[in-house]
Amino acid sequence: MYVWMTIWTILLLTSALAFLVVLVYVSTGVKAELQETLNDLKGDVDESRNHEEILNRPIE
Amino acid sequence: MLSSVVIGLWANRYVGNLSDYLVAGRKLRLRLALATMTGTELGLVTVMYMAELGFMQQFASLYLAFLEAGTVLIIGLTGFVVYRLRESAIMTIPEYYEKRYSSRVRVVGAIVMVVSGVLNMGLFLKAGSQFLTAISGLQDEMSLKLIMTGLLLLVLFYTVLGGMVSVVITDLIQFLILGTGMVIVTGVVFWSIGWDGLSSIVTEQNGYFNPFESDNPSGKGPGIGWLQIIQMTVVIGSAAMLWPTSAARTLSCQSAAVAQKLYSLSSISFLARRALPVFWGIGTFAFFVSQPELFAEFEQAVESNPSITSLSAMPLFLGKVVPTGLLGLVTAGMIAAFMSTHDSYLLCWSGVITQDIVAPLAGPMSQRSRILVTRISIFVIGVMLLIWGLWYEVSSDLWGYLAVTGAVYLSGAIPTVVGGLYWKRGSQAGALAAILSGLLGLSAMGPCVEVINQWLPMEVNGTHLTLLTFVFSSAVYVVGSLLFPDQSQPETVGSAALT
Repeated sequence: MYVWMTIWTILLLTSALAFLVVLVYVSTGVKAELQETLNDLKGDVDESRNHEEILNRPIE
Repeated sequence: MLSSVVIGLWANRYVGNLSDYLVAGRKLRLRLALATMTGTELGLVTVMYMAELGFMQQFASLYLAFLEAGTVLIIGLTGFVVYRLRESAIMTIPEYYEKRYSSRVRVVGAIVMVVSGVLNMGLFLKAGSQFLTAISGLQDEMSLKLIMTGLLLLVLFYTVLGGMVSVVITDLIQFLILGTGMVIVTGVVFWSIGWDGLSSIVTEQNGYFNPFESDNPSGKGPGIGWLQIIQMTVVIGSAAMLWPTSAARTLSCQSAAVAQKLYSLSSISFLARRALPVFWGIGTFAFFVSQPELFAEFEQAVESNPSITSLSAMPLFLGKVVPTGLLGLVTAGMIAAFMSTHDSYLLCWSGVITQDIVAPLAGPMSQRSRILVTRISIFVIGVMLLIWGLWYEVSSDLWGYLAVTGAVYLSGAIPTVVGGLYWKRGSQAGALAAILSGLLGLSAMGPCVEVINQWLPMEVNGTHLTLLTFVFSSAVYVVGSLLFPDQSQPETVGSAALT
């Protein structure tokens, strides 16, 4: 049983550390990504404002 | 929580069309997609049921975490299903059904998906309220219901306004709060139990370690065994590819390559979302067994008070070992988990109702009308959740309930999508038969199993019936497709016919 517990505990520790790495990875560059995504979305909004008829046109 | 309201109002400015509202314009980069995927799939309900399993089955229940992480990693490395799905530029899974099969398959598939999905999330509110009751000591049932209703209304507000854009932004904030909280709590649990406490599970408590053994030596919960591992492999493997909320993230990615990378990295989040709460559950078990009087009191409360179940053990334990100031952060993290899952689920099912049920049946609809119908659907599902969450009593463990309700959709979706993408001869008749056969999965719910066992000469359980549903749905897909092939090859993207 000690073998099982050691294996499980090592795997648990690995998953906690890996999750911490993911947290750091997301935190470091997400602000820039969010800004780029919002800029892209703004482009869609501007296009929709210029062509309002597209939003009202029935689609299949 | 206030920031959620502000984000809802602010995100509304970035919704220019239907695609923006449902899949964030398919513009998500990797980090953002990873945050929203983790925020959605790491819900309070996940934390609660995994901790419950850790409490009842100790270390053995960790097999689920590694099973899921392994599956997600394989999908990420190979791109199996997710790459082609994202390439097909659809917004919902049933939309793929129409491209590959027919409009009828789309509508029927969407109805089954919504039934399965809404039933699946029906107990999220109950799990959330049990957490808050146990961790805060709040006993007044009415106050608790009002708090849960308030939280749900808040989620409804920002989801209705900003759709996927506000869901992604709030998920990001919630992911950061929740992730930090989870790592800290794991440290606190380890600190309070210590290596000696964990070792005592081996030396004194006869803990459960080997999931392949079907007997649980601790006597605190059901065993696992080979058959259940096979069931979970099938259910978790299918959900990893096609669970609608995960698929919505796949379909929101900037490209198929980003979607594939998302899966590789998500394997870590998927590992943590199950492994860390299981560890809290193991800590709970070690804590209670070290205090037999308290354990006896808890077991007595479970028997006498219907609002206290084994789900309550972990938050009660955290309430005792986590320092007061930190407890606030933990509670905030768990509320964040509650909200980030609800918003994504609400948007996902509502999008399917609009795009795949109302629009095909009502005829051509404008983008503006579709957004309006989606908003109304979000509200209606929210109200249904309140009613279902308050009235339904769980007759099995929470994870068992989620696996069974999820299987109703997944058992039909797996042959329909995988067959559609990789098998040229898959037909409309086969797809319809498979999707409808998925409804047999409802027979694995507690009350149905009891009725079935009254009629059958041998005893069956939910595991048997879930596995049978998967096998039967896949079989009828193959047989139906061979017996009733489509007359003409449908116009399709991403199907075996064209790739």
